[in-house]
Amino acid sequence: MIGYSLITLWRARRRAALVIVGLSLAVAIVATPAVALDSEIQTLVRQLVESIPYDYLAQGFSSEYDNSSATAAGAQGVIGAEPVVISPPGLTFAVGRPTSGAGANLTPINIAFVRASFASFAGRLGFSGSFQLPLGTLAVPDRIAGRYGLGVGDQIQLLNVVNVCSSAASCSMENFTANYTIGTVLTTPLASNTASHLAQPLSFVPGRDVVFAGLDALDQMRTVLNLAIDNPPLLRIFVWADRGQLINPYDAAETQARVLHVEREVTAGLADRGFSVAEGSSPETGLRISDVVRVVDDSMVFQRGVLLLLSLPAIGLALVFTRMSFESGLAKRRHEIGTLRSRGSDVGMVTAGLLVEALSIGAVAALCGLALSVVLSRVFLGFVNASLPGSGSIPLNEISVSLSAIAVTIIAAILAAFLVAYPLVRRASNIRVVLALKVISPFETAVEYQEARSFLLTALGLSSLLLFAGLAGSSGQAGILQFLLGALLAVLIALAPVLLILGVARYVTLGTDRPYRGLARMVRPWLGQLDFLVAEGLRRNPRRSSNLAVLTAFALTFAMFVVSLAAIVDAQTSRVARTIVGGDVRFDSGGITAGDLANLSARPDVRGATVVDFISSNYGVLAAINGSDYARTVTWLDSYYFEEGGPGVVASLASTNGAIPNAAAASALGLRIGDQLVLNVVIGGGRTAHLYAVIVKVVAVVMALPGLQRSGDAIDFNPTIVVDRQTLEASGLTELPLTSPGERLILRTQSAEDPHVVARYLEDRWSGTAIVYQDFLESLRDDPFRAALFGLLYTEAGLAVFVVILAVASAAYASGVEREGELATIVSRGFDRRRLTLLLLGEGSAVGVIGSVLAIPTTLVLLWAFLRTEALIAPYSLPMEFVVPLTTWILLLATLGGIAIGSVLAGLRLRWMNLPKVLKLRGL
Amino acid sequence: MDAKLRQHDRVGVEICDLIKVYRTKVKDVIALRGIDASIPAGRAVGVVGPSGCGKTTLLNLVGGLDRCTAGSIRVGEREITRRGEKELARYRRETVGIVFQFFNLVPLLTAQENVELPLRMVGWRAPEREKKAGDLLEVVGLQSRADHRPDALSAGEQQRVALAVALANDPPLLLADEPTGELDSVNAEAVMGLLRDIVHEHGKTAMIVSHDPRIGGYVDQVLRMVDGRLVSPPMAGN
Repeated sequence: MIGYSLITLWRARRRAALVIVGLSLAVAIVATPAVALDSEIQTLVRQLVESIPYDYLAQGFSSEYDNSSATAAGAQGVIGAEPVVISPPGLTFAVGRPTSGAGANLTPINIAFVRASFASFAGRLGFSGSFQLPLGTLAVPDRIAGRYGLGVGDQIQLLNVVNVCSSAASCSMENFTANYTIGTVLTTPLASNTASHLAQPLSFVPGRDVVFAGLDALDQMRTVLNLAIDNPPLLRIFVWADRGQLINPYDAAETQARVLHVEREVTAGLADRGFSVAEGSSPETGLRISDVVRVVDDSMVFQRGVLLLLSLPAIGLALVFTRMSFESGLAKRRHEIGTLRSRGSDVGMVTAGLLVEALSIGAVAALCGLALSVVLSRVFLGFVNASLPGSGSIPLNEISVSLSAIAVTIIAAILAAFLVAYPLVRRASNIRVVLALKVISPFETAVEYQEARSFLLTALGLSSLLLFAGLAGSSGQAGILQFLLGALLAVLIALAPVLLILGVARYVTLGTDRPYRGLARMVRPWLGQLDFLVAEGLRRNPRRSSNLAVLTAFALTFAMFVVSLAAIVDAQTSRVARTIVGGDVRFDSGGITAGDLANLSARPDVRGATVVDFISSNYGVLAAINGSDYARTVTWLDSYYFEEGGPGVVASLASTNGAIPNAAAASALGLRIGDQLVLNVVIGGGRTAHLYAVIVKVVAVVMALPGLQRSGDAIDFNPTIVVDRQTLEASGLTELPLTSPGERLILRTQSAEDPHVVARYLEDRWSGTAIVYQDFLESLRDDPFRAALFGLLYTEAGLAVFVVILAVASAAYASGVEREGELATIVSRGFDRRRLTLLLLGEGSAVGVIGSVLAIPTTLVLLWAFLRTEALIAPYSLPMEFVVPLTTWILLLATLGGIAIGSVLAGLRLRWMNLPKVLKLRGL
Repeated sequence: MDAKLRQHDRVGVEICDLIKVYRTKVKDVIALRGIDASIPAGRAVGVVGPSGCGKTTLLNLVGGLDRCTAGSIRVGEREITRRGEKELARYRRETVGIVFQFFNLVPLLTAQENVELPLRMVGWRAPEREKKAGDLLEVVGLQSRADHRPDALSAGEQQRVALAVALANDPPLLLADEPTGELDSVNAEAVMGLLRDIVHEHGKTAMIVSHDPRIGGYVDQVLRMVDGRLVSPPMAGN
């Protein structure tokens, strides 16, 4: 019988094609998370490694700068080595214009002595520019140059104050000075700590206050400026290895072995010179290259599970489609099964034969699915991922498929085929022989529909939803209880839509034919009075119609949910960035006067500017603003932030003596709108302390206000109260006692202007850190896991829609085949055969519309439930906003359009059917 | 023909108080109301009657395709009404061959392969299987159409292939349900003649259900049924 099974499988391979397609899709979807993770791992490793400025640091006392560096560079796996001598810590240098006199524009700096070839690798340490520095010239970072208005060719004076002792009892402070020309102004990244890469080995001042000189100027400068640099000096050699050879993102042990190997090579080369060699690490994370792959790998365990879990809906849909195709195929073979049974095959023999076919299909589907997964991964990485905001960082991966992966995939696909086929095969094999022999048409003329079951499913779904709503409204749970509650909510909200869709779909498709009749009227303009055939076509195969409606509803719900969720998450990311930054540029510093503010506002590239002063008070920190300036500058201020009151109160804060506490302050003090508050501000201390009492009235309560968070988070959990500066001045507070973070400037730039320009100006002019909104937003979005997650979800949403279109089209095709005889009869009576495709269009569209009608409310409920759950389990972040983007509705319409097109294409064969042959076969 | 179909042990059929009730949601339908009949071994019996009288039901029960509600059927030494499905399947493989009104050939298989199908079920090896099938097709006069699928054969040819299929395992009992129902008179005569010859020359016991009034000319005995009962003593056939 195995031979029989294989023969029939081969000869009816077209029948098996749909099953293979469905199963291949399921296999491919399983493989996609693995691809997503591979890409994420590569990107994470790359990001972490990029923060490591150098790979090894060799240190030793030597004057043989070139020889030592060449030895290090000659080690296997090394691509470059640069020596640096750095003036020791503890010395104070000053820089200033020679004409401005001693004491003017003094800044403590260090000197780093380098070769011209340092330029090749200086970028990794945060410096870009030429290091060709003849004697008497220096390279100066743009921070220092900008601050003092210096440029190439300008002269600066270096000053070293040294305690010189002519004898044991006679010491005096002496000034050693020298003038140098600026040979290069080096570019440094905005608001970065990359220059502090030099601070790591130096263990002191940030890199922005380092100037560079040529190594060959060391001896001269040591003498002229009386630098306390040893002879031979402590030479530091930065070593860079070929990271492409060094790092295997997927194998931590191999990476560590390679790193150690290169380190040993460098050490061996420099051993006779007395150098010690150590691995470099990231100043931000502290990780070394040998740690990075292991750390990333450890973090993937959870993510692997999450991504696979999120693939389950799409896998489920593909398997449902597979099951439907298999079931349809078996229905067509019922007579054949009856024949086999009548000839003496028992149930076991028939079951075994059909299972052999199913398992063979599974093996074929496995290979097809593997190939498809490679294609899908290209789509996922090359198109879907690149089109998501901020996710372009994941590169197109080289896909490699191991033998073990192939073996596992084949086994999994065969197992899936068996699980899908076995219950259907058992049922088909066990059918009564006489019944099977009698059945000529694969139509199911009767399905046992139990209204009670539909009602029960719907009731359970609604109950789950109500229970969810009730539980989600509860708050105040902490710790493990909160986690368990969240888990329970997740289960409920996963069950509720499934139960609701199943229950309602069963009623709509099996319990009544009104929806069919109503929807069939869609094609009445073209089919005239024959639109009833559309309803008839759906009604005569109720199980198939019902399955299709359910499949469509699930797939559309999943796809629409994914698209909306991505929009919600991205909207929240933008909201967080806007809340933290407040404007196009945020600059925390001190010493910005009213005149400075006016000058800034007058810049042509600045649209608005406002200053915030953070002051201590008896009730926490006060954020003193100019209400009207703030409202004009911070255009992201809207009602979202307000728990009580609205954004209109901000502009009139001064006139109302208003105060806006954040939620922490309002909760701690029990504040509501209208409450009066006496704020005590103390200036000075001890005997000179002076208390100022400021009476304010609460005019609103907020979660947060853009740009006014003291911490780096979007919500400040320390009590903060926003007041107008004029209110404080009216109470006599003309001098404000600043507290961390001090003074903050929030700027809006003109729309066509680059905010980095004014940000750099601010950093140069004042000491502080500028944050550009766009950069900050990109850094939030630039999360490889998030990119992988949403890329995967988008791909699977697309697959889900594809499965639905395929399922409906194939059902339309089968419907056409099954009804060929009656349709031929209609045509023989004078109906235009070109309109036959409209029949199938009507059927497919009706199913699509039913599925859509079920999917829309389910999606909205799921989104609402997601937001409620998120608010419950993450109360410390800004709440997500309910967003249903236009793309969601476009997706819905596109799916309906795809279903319509698929149905029409499936019906094209009817236009060319051989009328006499069909009529003859049907006995007419 | 004799060389190609071997002689088989003859079996007779004893039917005792056979009752079959179809239970539906609307009402119960009594298809057989207590049939008593006897088909001697090696004899051919025709079963005639109006449409819906229970002829096919009787044949299905004797063929092991369905189960009775009450009563018994003995084929040779074997009582089949109390047998399990596995034993009934074996019964259908080894003891009975059925010719159906609508041929019931597997559309994906050729004529040769259709005839080989029962032989595969009992484990015949390919060379012997192919030879036996070829011989049977020669018996029914279709050896030249062995490689054709059913949709390439005429109705008469399909029924002859179906007859060859029924004979594949040399069953001692041959059942035919309206074997000429889909055939024109020429083909019907040809098929009935073939049946008669095979039955008589090889001592097979046969039950043939038919509307054809000429059935008497091909069988030894005619049973008339009306409303689920045998209504008259068996009429002698030709």
